[in-house]
Parts: sequence; structure tokens; C-alpha cells
Amino acid sequence: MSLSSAMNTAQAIFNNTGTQTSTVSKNMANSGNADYAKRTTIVSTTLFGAQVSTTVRAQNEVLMRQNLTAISQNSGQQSVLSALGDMRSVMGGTNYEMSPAKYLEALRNKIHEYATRPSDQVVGAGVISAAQDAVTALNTASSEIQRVRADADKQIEAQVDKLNNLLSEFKAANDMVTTETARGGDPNDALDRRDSLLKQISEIVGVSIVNRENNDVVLYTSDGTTLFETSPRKVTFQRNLFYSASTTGNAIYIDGVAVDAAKSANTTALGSLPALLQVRDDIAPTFQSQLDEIARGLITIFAENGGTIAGLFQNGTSTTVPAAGTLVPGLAASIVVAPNAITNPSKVRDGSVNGTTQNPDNNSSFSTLLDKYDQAFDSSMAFDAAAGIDVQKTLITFSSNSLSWLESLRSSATAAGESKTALLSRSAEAYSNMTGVSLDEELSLMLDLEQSYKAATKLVSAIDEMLQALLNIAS
Amino acid sequence: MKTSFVSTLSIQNAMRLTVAQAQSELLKAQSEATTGKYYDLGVSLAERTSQSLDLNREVARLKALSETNSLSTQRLASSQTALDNISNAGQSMLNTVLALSGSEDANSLKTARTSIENAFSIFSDMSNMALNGEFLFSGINSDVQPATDMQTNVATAYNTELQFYLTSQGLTDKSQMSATQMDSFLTTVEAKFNGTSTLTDPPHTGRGGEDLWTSYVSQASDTNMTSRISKTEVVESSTNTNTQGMRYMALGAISALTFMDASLDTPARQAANKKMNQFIAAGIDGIDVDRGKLGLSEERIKKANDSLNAQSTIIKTYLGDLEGVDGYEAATRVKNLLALVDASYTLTARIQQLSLVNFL
Repeated sequence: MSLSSAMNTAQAIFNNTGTQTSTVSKNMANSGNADYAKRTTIVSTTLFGAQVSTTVRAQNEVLMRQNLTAISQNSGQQSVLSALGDMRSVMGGTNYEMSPAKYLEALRNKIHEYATRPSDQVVGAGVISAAQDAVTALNTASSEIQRVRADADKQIEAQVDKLNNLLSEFKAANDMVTTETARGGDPNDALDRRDSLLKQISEIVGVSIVNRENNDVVLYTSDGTTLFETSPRKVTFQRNLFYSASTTGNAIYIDGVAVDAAKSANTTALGSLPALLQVRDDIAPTFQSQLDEIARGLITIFAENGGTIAGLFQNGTSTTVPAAGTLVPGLAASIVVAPNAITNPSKVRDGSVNGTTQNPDNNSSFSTLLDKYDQAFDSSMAFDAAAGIDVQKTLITFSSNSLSWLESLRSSATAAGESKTALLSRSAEAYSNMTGVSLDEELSLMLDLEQSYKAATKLVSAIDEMLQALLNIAS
Repeated sequence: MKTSFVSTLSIQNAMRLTVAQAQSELLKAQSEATTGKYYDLGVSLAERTSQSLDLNREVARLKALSETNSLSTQRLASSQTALDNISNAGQSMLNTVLALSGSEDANSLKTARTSIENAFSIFSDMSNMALNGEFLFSGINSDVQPATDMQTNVATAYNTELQFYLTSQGLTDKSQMSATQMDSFLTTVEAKFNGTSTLTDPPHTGRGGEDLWTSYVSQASDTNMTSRISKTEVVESSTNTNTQGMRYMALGAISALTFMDASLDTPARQAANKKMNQFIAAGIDGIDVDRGKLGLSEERIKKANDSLNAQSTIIKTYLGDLEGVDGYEAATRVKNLLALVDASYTLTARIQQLSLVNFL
């Protein structure tokens, strides 16, 4: 060993502290960045003391995967929950003021009042206006539910676009990672970028990751469809601009395979796409069927001529009474108050809106039919099982059970939403604790570096003095 | 090599999340403490939502029933008053007829006739009484006055019968009638009035086979108005002018007006008097039967109202149990949450200050 080799070692220290300081300062700068993984400089011993061999990025694949799953679950659940909230708000405030159930109740009470005073035209007009309110409530609810479906469709389109963009960005990041890794460069920044893209992709669709040579990854959706392999797969979707009860939405294709809709209120959806499909193709259509059944119930209750011709309520211009217990899609949108009844409310009393009068003497206090209508609200009737609630209930109970159905979905979705959000924040915290930057740690590292730099300078000046002393002997 | 397993970001996020959660809980607890109801009924009740809706609807329905019951009560009470007046008028006719029994004095006969005429017109007025635009005694034909010009119409029908009878007996005037003839005529006309026999043509042109009362006098329907007073009970809430009471009352009055005449033979008048007595008494009895029926309906409505009130109270209590939250519990929750948020703020501020930088 010689003084000059000691000098070389001291120089290596300068070199190392320089690199290490730059890593530490980069870590500090990114202490607030959730997508940044902490870097550590690895120093190894060589002939000339210690040397920086490589910079390592803190990684934890298990936690990363858990975090991605939590992101997907939460995003799916929130999509379902917000759609349910939207549907619930269509029904009005705390007391469901805008719901068909409430308007049916009002109509029924009006009918009862009219049965008590059938001679009073003002009360008769009140019945008509209550009937119109009920029809408006059904029409509005129906169009709002279809609006919810159309909104889901629109969101799907936007999400699919976003997913395609993310995948092409993912390709760029992934290419960078593989080339840097292959040539032994620094792939860390590209890895950060790739992880951050993965988080965003997980919000849209659940992914599972397979690692390959040179840090290359292959992405599959949780259904097993290939999403990315060397190059991104095409995600295609054709949006429907108009929705009615009988419209069926288009499927989303990833690499030519249709994405399945999720199920249940505590949704099975991973990512927003399956959740939106669930809203569009399952939840909203079921609620629409319930509205349609309520509309059919109304037409049936007020049917005239012994139930063979529509009375106070009819389906558009048609006066046929729909078959018992069979769903008529879109009836809630097309139900109207019969024009004959609007021009002369007492036709409701006489049963002559579209049928033949039951009151041939034209007695103004004829209340038999009105009382029958009143009672019909309390007698049970058959409903289609497709509506997903009761098959044999009174119309009024059916309408409130429909709200119950919606609220029970919303209740489980809310509970599930809370637990999935909690899970997400837990897993994000765990992941961040594992890979994130601790400012204090970096600062203490910086103190170390400072000390080692100071020691190196001392070393250099000592060697300098020693050399000086040697030269002084010579002179 | 990472040596510490906590990141600056997660420390800050954890505090932030705690505060956010506590605040959203606080919002709910605050609303629950002040309103006494769940913050989000639908989410809290879930599938029990329909129970809450059904109960609320039940309360509204019970309220509607008791509101319409008050209408029926009003109608019944007015009918009772009118029938009471008719019954009183009948009683005064009966008294007049009884007081006159045997008297042949033309003056007292004239006074008696005036008194009968008065009673008859009260009867007629009361029969045509209306409430809220509905004629009380028209049955379900309630927009038509039940007995327009009652006196005139009754008299026309009665006189036609009388003339026909006199002609058939070869007489020209009622003063020529014997007691037997009087009795036989009044029996015939009673059958016509109470509806046991129908009109004949002649003398009633174009009315052959019809009922005298509904043909000449009453426009009312035989069907009475009905009201649903509870979920299961329907009662009649009116009567009509076609009842036997009304018919006999009119028959008694017109017979009295026709045969309280000094020109009649004493035996014939006595025979007539006897019949009139019967008619008017039958009339009063009939009216009292009607009053009894209406009274029964009134009683049913009162009972129904009592039970509606009781049901409504029970349901409201249950609704409170279903939708309500414990106010004390909610208030305590608010206090705890406030303390929690407070502590979080203090801790956040402290932790934010805690940095190695401050000591270098």
C-alpha cells in the first residue's frame, strides 16, 4: 500500500458520497409522491476501498398486488354505489316524495274521497289530477332510470378510451424498463412510471401480472383475457346513444373477448367496467321492470267492462288490458291517463271512460265502482317474477317493496363501499410504508454522508501533509 | 436497504383519513341527535324500508278515512235534523186530527186545515233539504231535487184517484160519499201510495203500471248513498224520500186536507178521520224507523273513528321505534367524535412539526 493508493481510496469516498447524496436528495424530493419507490445506493468493496455498485428500488410485489386488487374492488364498488345513489335520488328526498309508491297512495286516498262524495265534480277532478301525478311519476322515473343506463354507457365509453391510452403509455414504460434492464442501465424511473400506470389501469379493470425476463410484464384481466403482452390489446366498445326499456347495451371487448358484468350489491366487480355493465344491464333494468309492473297494475285495477278494457289508465292510445302477471317492457314510460277521463272525470265514477256505463240512471252519487277501485288497491294481484320482487302482492305493497329492493341494494353497497375503501387505505398505507420515503431516515442518512465526506477531506489533508513532510526532507 | 418501515406520506395520510372519517361520522351523528331519525333511512333500514313506507301509508290512509267520516257524519246529522222536523210536523198533524175528532164546526175545521197545510209544507221543505250541493233525501241520485212541488204533485195524483173513484160510484162530489165508500176509497188509495198496487190508465194517462209515488212525486233513487267508514266497513249514510214513512206522511196530510170539510156527512168524515189517524201514525213510525237506521250508521261511524284513532296511535308508536334513533346515544356519539376530531387536529399539528430538519 502506498500513500497514492490511500489518496485513491479517499477519492473513491468523494465519488460515493456524491452519488449517495444525489440519491438521498432525489428520495427527499419525492417524499410526497405516492408513486415513487425509495432508492437505495448499494456500495461494495473493491481494490480501491468502497465503490457504488448499483442503485436499488424498494419493491414489494405482494403488497403491490394487494394494493392493485383493493384499488379495483373499491373503484367497482364506488361505481355501483354512485349509480344506486343516483337511482335513489330519482325517488325524491327522505320520504320518497317523488316515488310511484307515494303517488299511488295519494291517488288511492283521492279515490276514497271521491267514493264518499261522488256527486262532487271538484273531487272527481282531484282524482284525475292525482292520476296524472302518478303517471308523471312513473314516466319520469322510467326516463330517469334509462338516463342512468345511458350515463353508464357514456362512462364506459370514456373509460374504454382512457384504458386504451393507458395501455399505450404502459407499452412505452414497459419498453423502457426492458431495454434499460437488458443493457444494465437504470430502469427505476420507468418502473415508477409503470407502477403508477398499473394503478390507474386497475381502477378501470382488474389485472393480474406475470413477470418475464428483463422485468418485462404481461397483463391479464381478472377474467383471464390478455390485456398487454409486448403490445397493448385492443379494447373496443360501441356506445348506444339512446336507451329505452327494451334497448340492450353493447358488450365491451378486450382482445375480442366480451367483459362479463359483475353481480350483487356487494359487487364482484374488479374495476369500473364490470360494475358499469352491472348497473346498465342488471340493476337499472330490474328497477325499470318494477316500474313497468306498477304501471301494469294501475291499468289492471282501473280496467272496465269487468276488466276487459282499460279505464282511467291506458297504454298510450291502446285500450287493451295487459295480460295478468306478464311484464310489458316500457309500460311505465307509455302509460297515460285516458283522455276521456280528463274531459269528464265522472266517467271514472260510472266506469264509462272506455267501457259501458255501470250507472245507466246517471245517479250522481253512484259510488259502487269507486269503492271497488278503492278496495282493489288492497287486493293482491299477480306480478312477473322478472321484476325480481314479489309475484303475488297488492299493488301498493309491490310499489313500496320496489323501494325496499332499491334501498336494500344501496344499504349493502354502502356497507361494502365503506369496507372496501378502508381496505384500500390500509393496503395503500402498508405499501407506502414498505416502499415510500421516510424523510427522517433520509436526513439521518445525509448526516452519515456528511460525516464520511468530512472524514475523507481529513484523510486528504493528512495525506497532503505527509507528502509535504516527505518533500521537505528532500529539499 | 430500507431500514425504517414507515413513510412520511403514510403518516400524513393516516391522520388525514382519521379526520375525514370522524368528520363524516360527526355529520351523521349530529343530524341524528337533532332530528331523532336515522341520517339515511334507506341505508339504515335497507329491506325494512317497505315497512316504514307501509306504516306511513297506513297512517295517511287512516287519516283519510277519518276525514271522509266527518263528511258522512255531517250528512247523517243534517238528515237526522230534517227527519226530526218531519217527525214533529207529523206529530202536530196527528194532534190536529185527534183534537178535531167529531167536531163539525166549519171554523175549527178551517183552522185545522191551515195547521195541516203548515205541517205539510214543513215536510215538503225538509224532504228537499240539501247539504254541500247534495240533496239529502235523493238516495244516490243526489243532484236531483227529490220532491219538487210536493204538495201540488201529491194533490194532483190524489184528486185524480178521487175523481175516478167518484165517477165509478156514480157520484159527482166527495160530499156525497158514504162512510163505506170513504173507507173503500181510502183503502184503495193507500195501496197506491204505499206502492202495493200500481197506477191504472185511465185515469192516469200514460202512467199505467207505474208506482204512484215515484211517478208523481219523488225523483229519488231507492239506493241510498254508502260510505266506507273503516277498512272493512261500509254503511248507508243517507235515506231517501221513497220510504214508507215519507209516503204515509204525504198520504195522511193530503187526506186530511181533502176530507176535513164541513160539507161531508158526519159518518163519512169520521171514517176518514180514523184512516187519517192511521196514515199519519204510520208516517211518523216510518220516519222514526229511518231515523233509527241513520242513528245506527252514526253509531258505527263513531265506533269506527275510535278504532281508527287507536290504530293510528299504535302505528305511529311503532313507526317511531322503526325510524327513530336513541337521541342520548346520538348526542353521546357527537361528543365522542368532537373529542376525537379535536385530538386528531392537535396530533396532526404536532406530527407535522416533528421533523429531524428542526434539529440539524
